[in-house]
Amino acid sequence: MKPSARIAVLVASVAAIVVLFLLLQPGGGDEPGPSRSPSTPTETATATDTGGPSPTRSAAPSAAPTPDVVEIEIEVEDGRVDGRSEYAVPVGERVRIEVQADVADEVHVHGYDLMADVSPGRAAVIAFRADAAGVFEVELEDAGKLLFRLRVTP
Amino acid sequence: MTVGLLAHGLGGRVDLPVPRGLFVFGAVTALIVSFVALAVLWPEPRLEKRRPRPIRAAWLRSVMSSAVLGWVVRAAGLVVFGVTTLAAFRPVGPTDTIAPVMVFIWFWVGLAILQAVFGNVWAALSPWDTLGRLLQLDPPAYRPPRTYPKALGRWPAAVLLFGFVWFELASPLPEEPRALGIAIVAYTAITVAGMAAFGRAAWLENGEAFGVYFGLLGRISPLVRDDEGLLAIRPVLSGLPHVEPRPGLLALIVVALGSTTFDGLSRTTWWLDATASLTQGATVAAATAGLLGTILAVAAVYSGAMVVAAGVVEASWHPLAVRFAHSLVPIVLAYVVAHYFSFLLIEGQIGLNRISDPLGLGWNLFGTAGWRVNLTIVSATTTWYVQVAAIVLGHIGGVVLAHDRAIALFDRSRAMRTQYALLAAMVLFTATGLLILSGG
Repeated sequence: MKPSARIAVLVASVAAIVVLFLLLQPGGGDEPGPSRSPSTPTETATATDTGGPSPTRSAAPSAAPTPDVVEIEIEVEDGRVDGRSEYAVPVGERVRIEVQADVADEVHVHGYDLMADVSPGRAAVIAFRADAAGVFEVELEDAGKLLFRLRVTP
Repeated sequence: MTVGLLAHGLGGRVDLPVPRGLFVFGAVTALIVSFVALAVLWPEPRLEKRRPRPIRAAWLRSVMSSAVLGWVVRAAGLVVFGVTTLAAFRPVGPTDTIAPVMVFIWFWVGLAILQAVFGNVWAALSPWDTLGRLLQLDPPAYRPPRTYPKALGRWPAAVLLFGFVWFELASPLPEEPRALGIAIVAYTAITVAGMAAFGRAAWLENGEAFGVYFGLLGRISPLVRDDEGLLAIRPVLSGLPHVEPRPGLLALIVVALGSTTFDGLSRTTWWLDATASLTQGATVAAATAGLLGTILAVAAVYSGAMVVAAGVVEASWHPLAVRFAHSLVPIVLAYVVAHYFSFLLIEGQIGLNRISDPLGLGWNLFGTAGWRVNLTIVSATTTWYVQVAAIVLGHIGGVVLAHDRAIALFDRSRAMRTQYALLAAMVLFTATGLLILSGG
């Protein structure tokens, strides 16, 4: 192959790769903002009161323009976890995790590194704003038991 | 139940899967690059014959040849090693001391990337090398009881590297207090015994797993210390063709590639869901089988490609496989960057905190003990770009090295034909890497 032909092939392939990238990059095309995620409202867990001593906190009423709080309720009984294996929330959302368990342990949200004690009759409540994207494990720390994964998407 | 430190103590956070668009982009780019490379890459070997050019600046020469400075660096390496070992014996949680962060993030991931950029800095830092020097295990002054058997090659390093990745990724040991300390002491004992048996240099280049592994990554770098100890520059990747094709070299590379692949695989929701309900024993068994299986799969794909290539040139496949093994090293680096980039920058911050209190005793030596990990330091989008870029660039590096080796060994038309199979294997590795990154 002649040098000129070689250069032509190189230029053409670089151009093809650039075009490909522009077409396929995330948010390429029409998406305007960075934090749009239409599929998430369905992921909101419903807060059903199961009786028992109620946790010390309820959804914060004071915060300014009534921010949505994604509530996730988990129950652990006989080592079985009652809840989905994964919950998804958009980044920036407020999350409130409530865990009831028939054992004494500690609930740990990895990555965010938040902990709360849980014991029979006393739910663990962890509320925070999910500022960082990623997939985070939420565990019963001492038992090493995975409760669910929290998927925070941009 | 999760197994292994990466999944638990230091981990518990996984990158979001790469979006499908970027996945397709990466895969198609790798394909285009492969075919274009065959058409346009140089017809004469270029990297094979390159010699590094020393930088002749006087101040640099005095810095590089300063014995005092050399020993200061060695002493620093030894101090960090000592503190880490001590910390690894403290019966506290994985993030309470510096030890797990130092070993599994700063050393295993951070140093690997540093090597590829700045060359073989590990050679100047290695506490095991320093121990060998202090114990004066250097021939001819020291007479080792036996000479290193050539046929053994790098096999001890490959086996020990597998031991490390098994400890990290499949065993429940990182969760156990003191296990890391015991492992460090055991590895040090093996290394000192090896140096005592065969001489310091012989063991370091054949049996010291981290030295061999980091040494390979260091050959990617444009910087090198030449025979006179001067700093020299060379084209990126041109250090790799000079790797001696020794037994066990391929095994070590395949262990490195397979283990990173398995680590990615074991973080996908697919794997996590599949192993969620297993008992701890079964989880360890599954992870061990997964790790071994992935390494063997990588070996099988590469060997298969080389059998086909060998058929084309009517050579036996194994020597050929060893002669092309170095072309996998850029892919090893690419996998490390792609899988651990955010891990290094996010979980690596735990080290910034623990450096002030390395033993977990409540100290605050440098005032950073209150440092809280900033999870938003790299965005998900940045991580995706870095991951796909790393995989594609690693692929390009592999293709270039394989091409250079092929035209050095064979005439042009046979060289082209040997490359088809290897290119197919590399595309498979790249696609698998991307698939795992997008399959979370």
